[in-house]
Amino acid sequence: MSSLLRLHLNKILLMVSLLIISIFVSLSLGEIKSWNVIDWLDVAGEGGCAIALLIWMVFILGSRPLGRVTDLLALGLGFMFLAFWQDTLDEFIQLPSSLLWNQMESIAMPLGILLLTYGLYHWHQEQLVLNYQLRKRELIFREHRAFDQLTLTGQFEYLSQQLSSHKNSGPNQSLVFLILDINNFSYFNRQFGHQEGDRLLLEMCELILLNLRQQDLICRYAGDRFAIMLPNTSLTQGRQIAAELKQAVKHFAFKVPQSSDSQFQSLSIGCVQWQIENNDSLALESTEKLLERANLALLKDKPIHLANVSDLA
Amino acid sequence: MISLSALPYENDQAMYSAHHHAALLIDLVLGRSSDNIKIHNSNSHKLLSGTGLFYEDIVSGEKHISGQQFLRLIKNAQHLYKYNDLSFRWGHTLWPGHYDSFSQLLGNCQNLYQTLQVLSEHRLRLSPLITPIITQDSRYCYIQWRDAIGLGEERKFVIESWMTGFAALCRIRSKQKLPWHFGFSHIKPKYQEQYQVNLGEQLYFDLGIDVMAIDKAYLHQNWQHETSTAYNIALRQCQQTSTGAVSFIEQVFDYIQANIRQSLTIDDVATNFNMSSATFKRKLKKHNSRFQLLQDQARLSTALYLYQCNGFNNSQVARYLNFNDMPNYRRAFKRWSGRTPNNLKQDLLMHAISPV
Repeated sequence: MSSLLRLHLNKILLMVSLLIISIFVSLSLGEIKSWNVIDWLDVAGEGGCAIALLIWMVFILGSRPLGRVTDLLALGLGFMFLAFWQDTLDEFIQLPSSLLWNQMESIAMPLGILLLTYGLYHWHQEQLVLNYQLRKRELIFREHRAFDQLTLTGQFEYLSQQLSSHKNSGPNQSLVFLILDINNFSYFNRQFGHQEGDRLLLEMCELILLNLRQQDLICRYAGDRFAIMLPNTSLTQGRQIAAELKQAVKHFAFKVPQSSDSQFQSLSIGCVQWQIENNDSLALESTEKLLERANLALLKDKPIHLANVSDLA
Repeated sequence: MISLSALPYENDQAMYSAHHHAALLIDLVLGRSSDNIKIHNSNSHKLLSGTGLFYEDIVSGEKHISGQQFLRLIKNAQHLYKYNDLSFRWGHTLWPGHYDSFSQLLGNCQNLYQTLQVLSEHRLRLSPLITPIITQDSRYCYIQWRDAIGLGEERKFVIESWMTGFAALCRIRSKQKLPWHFGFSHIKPKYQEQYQVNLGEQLYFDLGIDVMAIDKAYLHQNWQHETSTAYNIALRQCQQTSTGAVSFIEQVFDYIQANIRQSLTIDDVATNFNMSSATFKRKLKKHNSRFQLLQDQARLSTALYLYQCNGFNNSQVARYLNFNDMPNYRRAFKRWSGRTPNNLKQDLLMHAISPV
C-alpha cells in the first residue's frame, strides 16, 4: 500500500496545501467563536464525515495505479472532503456572511459528487475489462481471501463453494469434474529447487487456462494438483477436454536455468461426472463423494502403480 | 539404546545447526521475496524476530540454535507465510538433505529398515524435533513419531513436515510410492486436501498418537544394488562426530515408559533425575509439558500397542496398566485420548488396514 501511495504524492501534497490555505484564509478573514457558542454535535458530525472521506481516499489511492479513473475518484472525494472540512472549520470560526469564500462548500460538495459519480462509472467499465481477464478463474461470486497466491486461481475452498452452489441449483445440467496432477512433480522439485517448481506450476496453470472454455473454472487443489469444474458438459466431452489438456502439457517445453534441455511434463487426470445419488431421489451425490471418486480416478490414471506386496517376497 | 548416563540436553541449549533443517524453512519462506532485496530484508527480520538470530548467523554455517529458538522460528514462519502448505513443502526438502556425512549415510541406506535405524540413531543431526519409535507386529511395521523437545503448539506443523518428509524420502530411494497409512493425534483439519496430495489417501485422524504404518514386506526390500562402500564410509564419519546426547523430555518419557506398570508419582521421577519435584516441574513447564501429560501419553501408546500387537482386550490392558476396575480404566482412557477405548479401536489405523 505504501508504495502505491508514493505514486500519488502530488495529489496528497495538493490536498495538504489546500487544507493549510483554507485554515489561513478562514483565520485571516473571520473571528474565532467563543467556547460556549460552538455546537459540538455539528463538529462531531461534519468532522466525522471529513475523516471518513479521508480514509476512503487513502484506501483508493493506496490500492490503485496511476490513471484516469484514479484521478477522477480522488478528485471527487477530495472536493467532498474540502466541503466537509470547511464546514467543520465554520463551527469554530465566524466568517462574514457576504464573503464569496463562504459559498465554497456549496460549490465543492456538488462538484465532488459529480466527479465521483463520473469516476465510478469509469471504474465500472474498467472492472468489466478486469473481470474478463479473470474468467475461468472465478465464476458468479468473488472471494479474494480464498485465492492462491502463487497461481492466482481460487483455493480449493472457493471451488467447493462453487460446487455446492451448483448442487443447490439442482441437477438439471450435467457437470463434469476433473482432478489433475503433474506426474513426478516432487522429482522435478528436488532436481531444480522449489522456486523453479513454483514457476512450473504457475506456467502450467496458464497453459491449462488457455485450453479451457469460457464457462470452465480452475482451482488449485493442493501442491501440484488442480481441480477443474466443467459445467454443461457430458462425460464424453469432459474426457475429450481431459485428453486435450494432456496433449497440450505433453508438448509444453519448460525451460530451467540449470539445464539446456527443455523439461517435459505429463499429467494424470481423474475425470468424473456428478451423478445422481440413487434412483429414488433426484439429489446429486455429496461434494465429498464426488471428490472421493475423482481422486480415485486420478490414482488409477497414474502411470506408476504400487508394487504388489506379493511380488516382494 | 537409551543410556541414562548420557547427559540430557534441554530446549535452551544450542544443539542444532542453524544452516540445516531451520535454514530450509527460512529459504522456503523468504524464497518468494528473494528477487527484491528490500522485501527480503524486512521479511527475514520478521521471520527471525524473537529468536535472537540474524540472517548472517545462518548463512555463516557455524551457528547452533536451541529448541526454543527453533520453535519460535517455526511459529514466525507460519505467521509470515500464511498458506497451509508450508509444513508439507518443508517436509519435502528435509531428507536426505545437506547435513554432511549424515545425509550421505541416510541417502545410501539399502532399505527402509536401515533408513529408520539411521534416522533414529542420529536423530540429533537428522531428525532433531521428533524421534521415530519403531515397533512391529506379525504383519505391520509402525513408526510412532514422538516429541523430542516439547513442541507444544507447533506439534501439528512438525508432524505434517516429518511424515511428508519421510514418505518422500522413501519414495525417492525406493523409486515407488510406498503404501503408507498415516494416523494423527489431531482431528481432521480443514485443509485435508494437502494431506491427500502430499501423503496419500490412507489417512486417519483423532487417534491419540502420530503413527505411520506399512506392511512389513517393505522393510527389507532392497532399494539399490550398488556396493555399500559409500554407506560404510559415511557410517564411520558419523560415528566419529555423533554425540549420543538425548533430550531431557525424551529421557523423562523413556523412564516413564520403562516403568509404565508402576504407578509413578512426580516425586519418584524427580528423585530418579536427582531433582526436587519443584525443579522438575519447572523444567517440564519449560518444555511445554506436564508430568501428567507425559504419563497419559505413555499409557495411551502402551494401551494401543497392547490392543494392536498383542491382541489384548480391554480388561487385559486395564490389568496390565494396574487399573482396579473397568469404569476407572475407561474414564482414564477417555482422558488420555478424548475417546472411549472401543470407539478409538474401531477407528484405529491398524484395524482399518488389517485384512479382516
